[in-house]
Amino acid sequence: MQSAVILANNLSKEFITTKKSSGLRGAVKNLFKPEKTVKRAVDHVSFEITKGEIVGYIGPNGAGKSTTIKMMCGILNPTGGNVLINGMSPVNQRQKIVMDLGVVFGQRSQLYWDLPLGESFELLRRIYLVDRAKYEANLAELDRILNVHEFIDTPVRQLSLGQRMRGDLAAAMLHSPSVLFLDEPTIGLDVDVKYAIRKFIKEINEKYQTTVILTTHDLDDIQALCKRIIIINDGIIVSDSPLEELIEQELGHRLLIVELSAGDFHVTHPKAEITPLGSNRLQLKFRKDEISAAALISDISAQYQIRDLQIKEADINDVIRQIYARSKAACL
Amino acid sequence: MKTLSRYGLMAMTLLKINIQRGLEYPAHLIGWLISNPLQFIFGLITIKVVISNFQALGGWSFEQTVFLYGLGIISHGLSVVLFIQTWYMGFLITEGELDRMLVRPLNVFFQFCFFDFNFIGLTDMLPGIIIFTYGCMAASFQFTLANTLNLLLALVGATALRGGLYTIIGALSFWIQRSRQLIGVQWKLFDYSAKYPMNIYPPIVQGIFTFLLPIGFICFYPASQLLYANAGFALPGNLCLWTFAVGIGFYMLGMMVFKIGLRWYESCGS
Ligand SMILES: Nc1ncnc2c1ncn2[C@@H]1O[C@H](COP(=O)(O)OP(=O)(O)OP(=O)(O)O)[C@@H](O)[C@H]1O
Ligand SMILES: [Mg+2]
Repeated sequence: MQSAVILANNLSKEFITTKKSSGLRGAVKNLFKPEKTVKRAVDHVSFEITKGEIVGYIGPNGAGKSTTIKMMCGILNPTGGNVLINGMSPVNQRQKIVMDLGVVFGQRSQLYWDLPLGESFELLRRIYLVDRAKYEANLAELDRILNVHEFIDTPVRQLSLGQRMRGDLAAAMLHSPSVLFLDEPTIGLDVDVKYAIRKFIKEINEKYQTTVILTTHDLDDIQALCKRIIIINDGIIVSDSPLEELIEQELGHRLLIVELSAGDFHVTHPKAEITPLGSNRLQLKFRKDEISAAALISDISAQYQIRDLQIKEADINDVIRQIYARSKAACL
Repeated sequence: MKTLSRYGLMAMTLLKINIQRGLEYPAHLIGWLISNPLQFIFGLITIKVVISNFQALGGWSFEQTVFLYGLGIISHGLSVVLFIQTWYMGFLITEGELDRMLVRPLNVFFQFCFFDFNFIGLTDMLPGIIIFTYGCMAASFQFTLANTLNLLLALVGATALRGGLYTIIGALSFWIQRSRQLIGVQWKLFDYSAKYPMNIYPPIVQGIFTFLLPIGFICFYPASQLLYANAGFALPGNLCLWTFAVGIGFYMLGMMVFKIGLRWYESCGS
């Protein structure tokens, strides 16, 4: 039996915050009768992730993504349910689990602020008990993709965001963990660095079968990397399926946009929904299981002369926006 | 055994890194070297003024009080070196700074203590040693074998006791979001307790500082034994040994409170 690398079972986290009323009267009230509100950041979340998967964990701001990741790597204790990483619970076997875990929070560096990057690496080598030969080999390998040698002697606090993120990623992989948690690793990065990071994730996944959980607001990251995505909204998982299936389900249709030469035309087609776009252009919305794009084009060109055409694939941004909107409506 | 040597090695590495880091800012170091002794010399002047105006304090002569004060500064210096992180524990907790320690395969309290080892605190020791040496001579303290051993026990105990109390107060931030104000109280408390013989306070205060919040052991009780001075309460047994025991006990208590508090740790939103 192939056991799950990560197994979350009704995992929940509640935060209790005291509401602050303003003014003197409010201050007195806060002192004697604080108003407590319970925020269910993560609400009965269950999933199973097997070795070698790259899973996109996405959701709008405040959905509970970071909170879930923090429970998985032992930073937060769940208020309900549990999670097992390699069969162990972070609640009572934190040290053992994190030995085989890499963690990157895009918002907050895990490196040591005052130390040059190289010394942080050296320190991590000792913390994770990596022997020197292995360490040198790993570092050389990581450097090939992330180019960290350029700034290895610079103290971390002097690094630019992109440099720091590359440093953080390298640091997370120095001890060759089997599971990698990446919470917004591409936040605020330029195209080149984003590309390098995607390439890095892809390579380590292929080469070492590293299991990767990735949260991001950049859906291009998802499209480039993840076969499976889990969507969370308001603490609840609203979807967990392969990316292709999700797109298929949500947007079965595609768009064909044609520009015709003739000025006056009247196009109809039984299998397409047609909207004029002006200046001789038309949008045809069709389902790909009903008619192929080629058939549709030849039907139209039989009637009118086509000057130019364009087929729009389903856009993952639209899909996700649609799902967020629907789950939000369901909450109300 | 293996873990012990691992932590030992780790501690050495961190020590090295921290010293290196401290030396990168020489101006900082010099600043401390100048400002710290000044602070303690002013403290000493205060005592002198107080004593010359009000006669001896609780039966303690000026020389004995200097001994007491010097002893206090030495354990203060040691605790600054070893436990300075506990002073901003509240900040680390509320800002979610413990996250990075929790994702590393090492004991969190160990990381907490050693990753920010402050060797500049040694500058606090310098005036302490000078004042204490003067106090020893003036109060004609004898460095016999027994006295030296007792003194060492008392210093280790007092340092551990400070560390333990600081840790407990700092760890309150796990439960109370704004316990940072407590740090100010902590400062005053330790300052007064170290400077004057405790038997000048009313018995109830002495009781509290002996049995509840045992800051009397930081320097008052051991000094009273070492100098045969008035200890207020007549506590049985070797007071230096008591200091050692109370210190280790409170240090362990601090570790326990920290460990329990960690379960309440809520990080911060990100
Ligand atoms: N330490 C905390 N104390 C109180 N509430 C918290 C804490 N951390 C998170 N929350 C709340 O829990 C909810 C989920 O937060 P979380 O950081 O997991 O969101 P997220 O999905 O990572 O969002 P984002 O995309 O903005 O990073 C939010 O409503 C947040 O306000
Ligand atoms: Mg987040």
